Amino acid sequence: MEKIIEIIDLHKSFGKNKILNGINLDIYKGQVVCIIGPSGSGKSTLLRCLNLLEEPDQGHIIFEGKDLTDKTTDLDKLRTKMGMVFQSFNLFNNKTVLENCIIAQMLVLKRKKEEAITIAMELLEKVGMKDFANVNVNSLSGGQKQRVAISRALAMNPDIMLFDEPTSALDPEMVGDVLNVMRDLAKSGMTMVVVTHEMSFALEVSDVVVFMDQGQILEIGDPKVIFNSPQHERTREFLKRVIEKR
Amino acid sequence: MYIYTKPTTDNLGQWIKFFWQEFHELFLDGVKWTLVISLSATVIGLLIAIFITPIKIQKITNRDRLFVKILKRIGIILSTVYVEVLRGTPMIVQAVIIYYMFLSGKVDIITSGIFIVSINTSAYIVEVLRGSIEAIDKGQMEAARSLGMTRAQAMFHIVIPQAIRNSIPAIGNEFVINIKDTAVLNVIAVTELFFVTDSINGRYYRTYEAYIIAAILYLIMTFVTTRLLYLISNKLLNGNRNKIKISFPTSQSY
Repeated sequence: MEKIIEIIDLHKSFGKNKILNGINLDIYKGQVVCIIGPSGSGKSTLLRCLNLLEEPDQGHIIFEGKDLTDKTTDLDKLRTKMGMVFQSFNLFNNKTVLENCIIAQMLVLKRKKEEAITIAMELLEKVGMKDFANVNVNSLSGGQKQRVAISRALAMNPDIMLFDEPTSALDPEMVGDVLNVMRDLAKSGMTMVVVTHEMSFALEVSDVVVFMDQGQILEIGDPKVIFNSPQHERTREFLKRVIEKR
Repeated sequence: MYIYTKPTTDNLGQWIKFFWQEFHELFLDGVKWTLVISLSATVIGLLIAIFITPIKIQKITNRDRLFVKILKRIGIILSTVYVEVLRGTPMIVQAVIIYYMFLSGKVDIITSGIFIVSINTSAYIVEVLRGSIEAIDKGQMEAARSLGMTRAQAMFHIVIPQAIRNSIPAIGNEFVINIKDTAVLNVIAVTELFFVTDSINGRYYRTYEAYIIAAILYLIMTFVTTRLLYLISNKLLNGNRNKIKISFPTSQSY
């Protein structure tokens, strides 16, 4: 299998707080990687370091053979290859649904407007948001916003999709819609890195589960193995607590 | 010489009546220039501010080349000095210095007045826009950058349009303030309302009588403008179901 991302000895602190403490991780093409772990364990920071929304203090991120932490790397160009979906959606508030999905295509990929619209409409149809194309994004529900956000990222034809707790800000009823879209995406062969608290989703969809605690990867492997017979005491404790909550 | 009789006593009512009957055209001319100067200066000030604000708030990152870092630093320093100087000195002082140092004899007096109020207003609007830009959710910028947009593209297409929309009440407020503050232009003899009033008052050696008329005219202007701006910004801000509550207006904060 072909490596798409290689994370080498990644460190990140905010002030005195050490958030990431030496992360090493390889992600292969077509893999769905779910990152789980308690709050404050550095999952989101790790994900945000992958497209350098957070600049790591130390270490390297090699994406498709290019080192993102190298200052001469054209970040903007590589970011178009990495779609990102945020917990708080972050749809552009001054744009309609369709405009959200075409603006970066036109500005960054220099696509013609008609072409961008065709691509956007196709994706919006896939996530069931075609009828809302000309709606202002502020009038959408959370689940609808997140599906638009996924279309917006996919419109750039990324090689990998990063999901930062995509369902954490949603009403329980909306979670299913978004997870279905992500499930379809996984089936289509998209490489995905998902930070999530949806354990059943992680178990069902992912190829690899990464368990993080206190800025380190404690356990990594097949989801069935991790969920059924975790090696690490901390993992066992976390899973027990998460499952008890239900 | 006069159509109307000059009052022979100090009766305030008689003087006001006389001044209005005799000079209402002059007063209204003053009103006209006050409105022309303050409106155009607010619009021009906004345009200048839209140009300066991104320079002032740009960020130097360690991915920038040395040359870019130096250019950015110079931009930040110059724009900061511009804003500090204009906000930190009275407009009446700015008017005298700018007019007699640069404009006198070269540019007509109304244009000079518009120029002075424009740059003064721009400094205030820069701070308004800076505040609004900082208040825009960081996620907007992050989403734009994650799609491969440059910081400048994200600023001009995503962040600044939202910031301007949210600034409409504050920018309107600058207009209302300008209606009143153009009065200081009388030091360089711009024929706005204050200057006109002062000359009429002086002609009859009165102390304040004509100013009562000026006060009423200023109040009418600010009152009407305030209400109009309130209607306009309500329409603009609530047009797209993006509800921003604006409380009932007064002349300082409509």
